[in-house]
Amino acid sequence: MSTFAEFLSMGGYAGYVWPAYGLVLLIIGGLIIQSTMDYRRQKQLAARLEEANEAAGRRRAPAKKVPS
Amino acid sequence: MALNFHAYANPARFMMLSRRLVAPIAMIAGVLIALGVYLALWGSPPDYQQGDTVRIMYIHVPAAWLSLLCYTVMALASATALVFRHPLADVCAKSAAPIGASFTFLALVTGSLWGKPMWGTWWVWDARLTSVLILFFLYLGYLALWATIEEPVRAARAAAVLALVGFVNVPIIHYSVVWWNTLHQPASVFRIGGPTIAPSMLAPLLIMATGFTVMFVALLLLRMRAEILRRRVRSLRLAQAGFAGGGREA
Amino acid sequence: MIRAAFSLISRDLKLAIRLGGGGGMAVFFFLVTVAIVPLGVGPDLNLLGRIAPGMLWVSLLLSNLLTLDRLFQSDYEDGSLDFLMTSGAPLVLVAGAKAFSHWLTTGLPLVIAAPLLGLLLNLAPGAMPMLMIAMLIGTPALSFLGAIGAALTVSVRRGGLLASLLVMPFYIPVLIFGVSAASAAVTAAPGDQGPRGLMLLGALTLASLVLAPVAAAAALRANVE
Repeated sequence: MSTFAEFLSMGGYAGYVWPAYGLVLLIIGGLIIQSTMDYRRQKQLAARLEEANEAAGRRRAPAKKVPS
Repeated sequence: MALNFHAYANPARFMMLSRRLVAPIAMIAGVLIALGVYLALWGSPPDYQQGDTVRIMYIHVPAAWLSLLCYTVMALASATALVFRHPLADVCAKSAAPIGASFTFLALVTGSLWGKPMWGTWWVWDARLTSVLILFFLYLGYLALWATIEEPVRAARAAAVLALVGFVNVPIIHYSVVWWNTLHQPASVFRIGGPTIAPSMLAPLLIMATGFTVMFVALLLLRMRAEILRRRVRSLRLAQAGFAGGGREA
Repeated sequence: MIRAAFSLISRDLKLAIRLGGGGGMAVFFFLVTVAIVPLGVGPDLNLLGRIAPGMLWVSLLLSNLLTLDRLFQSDYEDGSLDFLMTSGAPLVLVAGAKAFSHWLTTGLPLVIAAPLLGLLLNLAPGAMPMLMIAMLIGTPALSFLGAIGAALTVSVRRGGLLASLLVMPFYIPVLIFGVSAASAAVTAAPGDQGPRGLMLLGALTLASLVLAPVAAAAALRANVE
């Protein structure tokens, strides 16, 4: 059985294997976070605007529902 | 058939269907990738020639596979957008591009990290590497075009034309680079691949590739949803600006 | 229809002659970039002779990219593009004619200037004809592929840089096959690759002559309509 230190050393290639996995984690993690945050933001904006639109529609002439 | 097709292409319908899909698909992707990483780092033996650097292959090969898959999805969506004027197709193409660019970048960098200990250099002008680098340029150009043209309808159609021209060109570029490579250097670089992959290595590779692909689907759906919402926000803003300006909106 | 294309080409030629600029500037740029190479890599004539075909092709490519922005942009700005699009002539034909006149005013002068610049780089005299032929065959592809990039960015202010970035990957096969034809004559490498390179280059040019106007027309429609 290999020890944990041996596992970390990756047969001497630690300097290559770990950066590779780290970078994948960084980039894909970043992509996931960016996508999720963008989605939430757009959702919030859309909800707020739609609300405002309906309020305006009640006050003014019947507002045409904007096709998405 | 065509009618049915369009019914599913309706953005409202897409939003309804995709809402419940993103989370489960992302979950499946997470499980697959976790299993894949476990097998790649712990559950598989080092290669007798490459040692532990073979573990880089378990992320490099899926990333390279996705760089091609994303471009294909992008090009097919672009063709659909141009031919059928599909409301969802250019949303799909636009959403696939940043994912594809990310995976292409990862394929390049992980390949480089593998190449340094194996070939003794970070970069060789090997046919496959060069082609992937050019593919990365194509992605960047596509993204740049989207970012530059402000009006979304124009940008979508221009980007669709570019994606298709790129799609036609990718094989030509690849072939020319292979040809160039054989002219300049003998194909002496050591490469893995071929049918002689041990099953202990095939399992993590396949699981990772599947996991990455499923994750691509989840990310694509999420980004498409965000993009549809962004367009709704845009048109709502325009409508409100129209109201405020006394209905000058054209 | 053919007459429309001819009149468009002759109009572009007249404009290019009257206004100058474009083609002459491209040749000047070609000269400058080639002159810079020895300053960068050193005056060793053997080395220069060896890299001459590649350097000439790369400089030619850059000079070509530099002129892409004026392929459609000036017509877009003064409204003649709108006129051309509504004139009833097929847009594919218009795009093809524009690309062809771009070749006449830019590609052809560059090819004519190339042998002179070859002297500066100590290009082997025997390789000169091959290089000229390769450039003659390859430059139309550059103009036609470039037309796609120019059309894509026609509505973008200062779209020239973006057009260059978009088009550069598509130029790579032309570069590869073009250089191989000429450098086969320089190094006299075993296995006569020259004619094969030329044939592949010809195939590329023919394909781009047919397909690029279609793509450019679609791109123009996307930007203007």
